[in-house]
Amino acid sequence: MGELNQDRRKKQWVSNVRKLAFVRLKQCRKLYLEAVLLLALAVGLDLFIFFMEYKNNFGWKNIYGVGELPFCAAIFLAAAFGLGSFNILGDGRLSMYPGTVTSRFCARLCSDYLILLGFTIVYGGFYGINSIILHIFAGKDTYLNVRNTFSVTYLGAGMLQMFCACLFLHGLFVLVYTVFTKIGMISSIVITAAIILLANGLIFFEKLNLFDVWDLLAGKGMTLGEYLVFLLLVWAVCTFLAFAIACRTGGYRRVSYSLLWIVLAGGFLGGSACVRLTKSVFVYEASYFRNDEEYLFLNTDVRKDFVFKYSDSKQGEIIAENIANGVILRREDGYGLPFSQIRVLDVQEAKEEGFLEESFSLKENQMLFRVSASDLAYRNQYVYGNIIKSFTVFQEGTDIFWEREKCGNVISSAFGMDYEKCGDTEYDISRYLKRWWTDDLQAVLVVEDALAEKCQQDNDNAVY
Amino acid sequence: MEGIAIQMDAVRKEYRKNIALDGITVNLHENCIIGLIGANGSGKTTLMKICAGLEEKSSGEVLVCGADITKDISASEEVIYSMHDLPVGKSYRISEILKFYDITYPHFDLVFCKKMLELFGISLKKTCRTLSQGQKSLVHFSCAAAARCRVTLLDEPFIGIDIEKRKMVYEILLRDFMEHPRAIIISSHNLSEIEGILSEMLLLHRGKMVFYQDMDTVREMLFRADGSKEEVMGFVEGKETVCTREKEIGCYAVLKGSVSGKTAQEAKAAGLSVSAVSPEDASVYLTMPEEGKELESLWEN
Repeated sequence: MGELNQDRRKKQWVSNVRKLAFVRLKQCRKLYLEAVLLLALAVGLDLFIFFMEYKNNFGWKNIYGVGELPFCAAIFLAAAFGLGSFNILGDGRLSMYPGTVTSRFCARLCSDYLILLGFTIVYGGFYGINSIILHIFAGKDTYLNVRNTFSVTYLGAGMLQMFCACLFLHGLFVLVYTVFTKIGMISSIVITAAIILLANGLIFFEKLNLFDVWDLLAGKGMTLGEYLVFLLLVWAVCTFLAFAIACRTGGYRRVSYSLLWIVLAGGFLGGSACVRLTKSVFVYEASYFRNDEEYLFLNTDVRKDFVFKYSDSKQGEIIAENIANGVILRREDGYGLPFSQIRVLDVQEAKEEGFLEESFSLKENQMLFRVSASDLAYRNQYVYGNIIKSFTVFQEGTDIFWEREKCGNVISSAFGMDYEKCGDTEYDISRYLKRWWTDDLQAVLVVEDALAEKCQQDNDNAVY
Repeated sequence: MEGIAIQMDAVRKEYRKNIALDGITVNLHENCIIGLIGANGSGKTTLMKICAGLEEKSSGEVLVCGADITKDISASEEVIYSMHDLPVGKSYRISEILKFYDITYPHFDLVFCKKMLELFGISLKKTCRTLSQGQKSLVHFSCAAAARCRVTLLDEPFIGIDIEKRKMVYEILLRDFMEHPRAIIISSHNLSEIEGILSEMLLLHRGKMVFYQDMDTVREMLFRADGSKEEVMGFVEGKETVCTREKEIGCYAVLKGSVSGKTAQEAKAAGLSVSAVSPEDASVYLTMPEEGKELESLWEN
């Protein structure tokens, strides 16, 4: 009988949670509309800016995914949804319906998670819509490369990260609010002020910026999977603690919603002030990219060699001319290799200019195509290393082609593989091309002396 | 527990230094309409919210339908708390709010509720934001009545409603109570108007319970004796009075007992004019401020 009673109560509890969550979802349905409108506005503005840029700058353009404006809008929305959880106990709109403290708390959690999931899907949807609009706009414009605007793996990884980050924020806000409701308004203000002062004091005196602090906790050197696990772990611990605190006594004190804004504003202003203080002024001025602390040139050179063979000097000449003129085609779509200049040198010249080692010798009827760069690290990823590692140049008769291997992606790194080992070439190349650093990659074709002379003569003749 | 809707045992509620409820012990009966009467700040709303599980008591025990409402979902589904300004969300349409009630309350009669609102001339397409205070009160009352919960707590439900609609509301309340008997607890400052539909009355004063009686007992609880100062003061000497007004003109004393009781007969014999004290007046006399705090003190230097 007792067991039956318990079973009945459990069913009632579940049914109550379901009903309340449904009511809350219905109550929050306008949030979806607001989220969609805000994202649409952000995407629209982003596209408008892009169109204006395109109109004013003729020439080759690579377009990659969504811009920063929709991303900022998404972050803002995530924070706003997270803030919605702040009234998880005091929300009278739900408390007025039947339920217990535990069922109301769980209903709010469930509905919030569904809202966050819906928001993540909306965000993903806009990524797709943005890509479609760009494709339509690009049409047959050969100067506009929009092939990289959409990738299922990035969509998946982006949505996964967005959802986990939302849960992370939600968990933190819920815990903060639950603690505040237990300790009351005055104690909350005192504790908040103390934490803000302490945190900002530490950041200031330790000469750290917020990104460094964050990188100490998560991000640097982590695989995406580890990063997500970190976010989920914080969320789980915070939510569990909040639930335990909320259910222990059942009662709560009302805490002003504006208090959370004070917390956020205090944290943000104090934190950003410290970031400004600890960052070089140079960062805020013109040449931002090269001095960006996220980028770091390494001393180690990376390089890759390709050997082409030819049967007679005529064939060798054609190959050398093709390469010198940048006619190295990508098999699938015909785009050229992204080097600004390819030099043709004989062995001696190549040695003198430091492209070849002294002991190097070229075999008969062969030429060497060498690609090299001082490697560049972007957030612990070796950009050029990855680019060079992933592409192959090969010969078919007198035609030279190049191929890029997709040796990894963010989704595979999410499941335990080290991000660097994944060698996410798409990402690296997109980053690299976005910054227009083509000069850093160097390519040289080393040919026999006779062939080099012939090429030089042809070039001279072409000039006259 | 048979026949008891709400059982309260030494219930106390404090807000920092303010004591809202001070050791309330009472068993509120099932199947009656109970008036919860008291001055502003006497603890009516706090008591109702504690009964509905919306506020946490500082100490004591509250059982609603024999269960702790903060832990038992089936008990919480049998209780509805309604007031003139519930936080239902201003941007929702009335039809949506009815749907929320329909989802969450197992006995909610949606058709009945819609009929009531039609009778009051309130469109279901309207949002709460566009309603007047009286219309809001009518919507919340309709929802609470249609929920058909075993315990219906109506906290100042008639604020802003015009006299015509108020009379309709009283009729509906009484008729629906006869169709579906349950404990309906109404807090109101307009006791003379609702007196006719009440079967019991609970009077609160500064967080303490003054009495909980059926209406017939309340009507027979006090009588008033008017006369000249000498007559009144001479009569009340040695008798237990609730209050006296010792003015030259309009001197009276309020005494315990029925207007047809022995003391009242004695007063008549002493030349005093004896009249019954209505429940509304009784609640005033029983909770009157102490001497020296009367209105006259406003004009004293």
